[in-house]
Amino acid sequence: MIQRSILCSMVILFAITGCKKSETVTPQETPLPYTEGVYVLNEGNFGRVNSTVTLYNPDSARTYQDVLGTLGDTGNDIVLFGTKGFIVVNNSHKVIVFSTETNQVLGTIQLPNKSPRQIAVVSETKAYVTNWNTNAVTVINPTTFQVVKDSIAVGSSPEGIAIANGKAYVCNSGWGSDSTVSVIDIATDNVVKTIIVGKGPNSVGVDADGDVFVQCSGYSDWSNPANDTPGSVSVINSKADTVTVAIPFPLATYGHPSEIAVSKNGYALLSVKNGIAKIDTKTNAIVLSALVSTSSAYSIAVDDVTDYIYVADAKNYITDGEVKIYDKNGNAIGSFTTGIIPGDIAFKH
Amino acid sequence: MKLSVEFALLLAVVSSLLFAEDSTKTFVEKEIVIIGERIQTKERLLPSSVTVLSPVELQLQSGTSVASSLQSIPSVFTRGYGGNGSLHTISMRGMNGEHTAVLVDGEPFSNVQNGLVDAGIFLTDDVERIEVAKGGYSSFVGSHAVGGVVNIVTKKPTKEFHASLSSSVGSFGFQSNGVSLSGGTDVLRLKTFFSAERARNDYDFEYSDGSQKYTLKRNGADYSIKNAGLQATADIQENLEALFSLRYSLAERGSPSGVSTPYQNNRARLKDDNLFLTSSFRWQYSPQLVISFAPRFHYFLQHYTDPAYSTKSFSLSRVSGFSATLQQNFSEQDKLRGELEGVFADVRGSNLAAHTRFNGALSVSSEHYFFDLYEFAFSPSLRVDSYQNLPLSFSPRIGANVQVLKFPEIRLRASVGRNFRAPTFNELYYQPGGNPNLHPEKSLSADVGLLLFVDEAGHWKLENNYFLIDTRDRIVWTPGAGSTWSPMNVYRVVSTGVEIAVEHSLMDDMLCWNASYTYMEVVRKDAAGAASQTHNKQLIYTPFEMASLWLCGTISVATVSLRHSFTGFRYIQENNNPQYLLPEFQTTDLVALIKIPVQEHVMMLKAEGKNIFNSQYQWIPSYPVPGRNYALTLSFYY
Repeated sequence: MIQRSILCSMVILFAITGCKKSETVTPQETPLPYTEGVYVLNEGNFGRVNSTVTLYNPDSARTYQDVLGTLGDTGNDIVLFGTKGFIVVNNSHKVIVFSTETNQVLGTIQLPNKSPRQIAVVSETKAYVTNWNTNAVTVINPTTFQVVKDSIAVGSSPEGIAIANGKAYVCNSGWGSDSTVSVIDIATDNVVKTIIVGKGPNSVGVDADGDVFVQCSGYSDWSNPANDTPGSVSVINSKADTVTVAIPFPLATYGHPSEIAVSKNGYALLSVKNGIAKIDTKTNAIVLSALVSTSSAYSIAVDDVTDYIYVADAKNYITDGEVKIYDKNGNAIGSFTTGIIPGDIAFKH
Repeated sequence: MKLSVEFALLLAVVSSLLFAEDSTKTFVEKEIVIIGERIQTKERLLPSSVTVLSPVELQLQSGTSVASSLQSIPSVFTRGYGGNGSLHTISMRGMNGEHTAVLVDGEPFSNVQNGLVDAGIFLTDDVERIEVAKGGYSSFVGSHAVGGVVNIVTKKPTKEFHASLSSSVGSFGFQSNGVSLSGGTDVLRLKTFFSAERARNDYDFEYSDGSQKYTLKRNGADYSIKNAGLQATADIQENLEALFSLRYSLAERGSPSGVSTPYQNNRARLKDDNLFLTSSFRWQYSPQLVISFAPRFHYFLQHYTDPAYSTKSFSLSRVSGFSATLQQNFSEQDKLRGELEGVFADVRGSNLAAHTRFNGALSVSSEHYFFDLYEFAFSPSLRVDSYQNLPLSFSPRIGANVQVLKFPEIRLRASVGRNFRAPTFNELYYQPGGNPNLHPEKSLSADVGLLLFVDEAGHWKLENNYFLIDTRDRIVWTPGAGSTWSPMNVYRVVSTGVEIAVEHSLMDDMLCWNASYTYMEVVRKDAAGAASQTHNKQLIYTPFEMASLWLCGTISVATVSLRHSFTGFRYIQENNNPQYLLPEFQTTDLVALIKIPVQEHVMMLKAEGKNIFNSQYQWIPSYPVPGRNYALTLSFYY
């Protein structure tokens, strides 16, 4: 594993070196944005302690598996911030902090019995983690690996979280029964408002204007699907903390939306029944019902620098998964193999 | 440790030749009646491998459950989710728990909702013996008998008055107490028993999170099991015998999740109510003809709660059934049996709407023996099962056993049959995901065996079996649209293996030992063939190798038994990634019995040291099993 990590680091080092050697860049020019690596968090199977990270290098189109070794039981969220990466390992009840320069684990923050789900990083010394078991958000210091504040009470089964305009927006999923977003003031760590959105708020993203897009799955009644309610995307103005529009996603066409990926370039993508729907974040209208047609999107992500769309396929959930890469028009341009159940994707620029 | 199939076969043949040189006597073995009188013959005449754990052998086992008693049998693998009181399923010849048909006194006992029996909470205090028949037996007992059959035979009422009292203490707060009374008249005999067992189960175990090792204490795994029963047998008329049996167990226990963090706070609980009511009327119409009728009722209610997720759920199943049997023994050499069975089941639960299902079955079997120069046994059988909304299942089987040498006695035996498993209620209707369009799993089962009996320097028995179970349309929970998983008939599993067992007793059984070794490959065959990462890969949690050695010695009133078991590594990922393994483990159990006569009665002291070398291991990933632990039992038999 150490050898693999060294090899991996060398490849990234060569990639960086290659960029810096470009003769077209002069000292006066700002270096062009560049996607150095695509980190894919593989959930692994619940209970089997086999979550891993796959690193894909777009320049060389090479893929490196298990770059951090085995993470624990069911990795659920990966976020990069500065030169660090943060991984929430749900059923191991911990957050792993690693260096994106060396791909070495720097430390672990244990969150006993909280069942942590997702993380939003505010700064080098502050991050918020949503916890299913406690219906609360925990504040951690990723530099000292300490829990700063054990619980900020929010709604039921908090899931997605995003930062906008000095506040953290927490999706209270309620497993489909809750319909609120809790707003936490980053300065005080207090919930300052609870906003009503659609049923089952699950994932959230922020566009370039600071608008908060909340994906709501709708309610699913397993015993009687006739009671199902459709999903929606609620758009929150982060200055006023009010819902400016709720974009409906009718059940018959879209099923229950499962994830949103918001680009800084004027659009958002939503994983729906038969593919990836596209929303114009300026007009808040659905512009394409299926930018990419697929029934196997397990997770999606959009790279703001390249406008490439990454769609993860968990296949049969017990063997290697795959990530397919599309351009912003939905044309397939590549793919790479991942570990078991690729559940989240993050980009290093 | 790894031996090949070829080496194992060679070992068996060499052993046969070795003993063939100097042996002149015939092994005298037990007459057995197995699987609820469906097969009645001498052990050596059986066409396939059957192990019977006698009362003495059960006494010498460590542990108190059916699961712990079965752990010594070749190619029987009990998968436990922890220590005593936790869920244990019985796998045979590489199949899963739902591929083992479990009977109590010959009547089906498996839960119709999930096809399983929790052998971890079935206590052996009222068990007379356990029969384990490996291989396919659908031609006798229908669905689920793909990997084999376990028949738990309970103690029967006696005419003479008998009473027993038993009390145990042990590690991790283990306590067990039991009482039984039996007696009657020439006409009516009654037996009743009650036992209660509980433990804190807060055992230490080692845990590693990848970077650091911890010694942790299991929490939330405490349990309490109460068993009670009443049995009556009556001679209603000279040729008419009736039996009534009521058996009830209540298990209330923690159901902790797997350990994936050093910080555990398990609060999930399971409560199982299990009522099993059977009766039978046996009419000896003539010396050759027996007609019997056996109605039964099985009630199973399970509650599950987990405060962490605000979960409260239940499942209820009720099964009413009967069997009518006609047994015609034309002679000692020719026997014919016919059986008609009807079963009505209804289930409901938090994740299961109310559903009912009827199934009927007709089976015919016969046994033929030719005792000429060399003995030959031949036993064909056929069963037809009709399940509501499923196609008819035909399960034929044929078995033969031939004596190829008299001194020493060497026998060859073989059987081949078709078997099936009907989808369970959960697989059909569980919400979300149940698939009402499933069809039954079908399998071909075959085994070939060599037996050698030698009466030289004590009694020797060598048994060698090669087996094959080829299962098609395996039902597997598979991811579907969205996040819903559904069971599908998706692939084939081919299980092949070899079992070798040697038994030796001498000095009138004062000294005995046995050893066994099993090598099996249980591979998945995907429709996509080599393009699939799971094609031709060993099933998860299934060891390639298992072995055990048992030594037993008796001096005067004391008996000491030492059992050492080895279980090979197991994959935990379907693609057999060697990075993710459950490592091999070895355990050693020591049991000492002292039987002290007290006038005409017996007092028995039993001391058990389990896992005495403190092996740290798991059957299922993240579910640690106790290390070294002890128990002391004092019993009095009147």
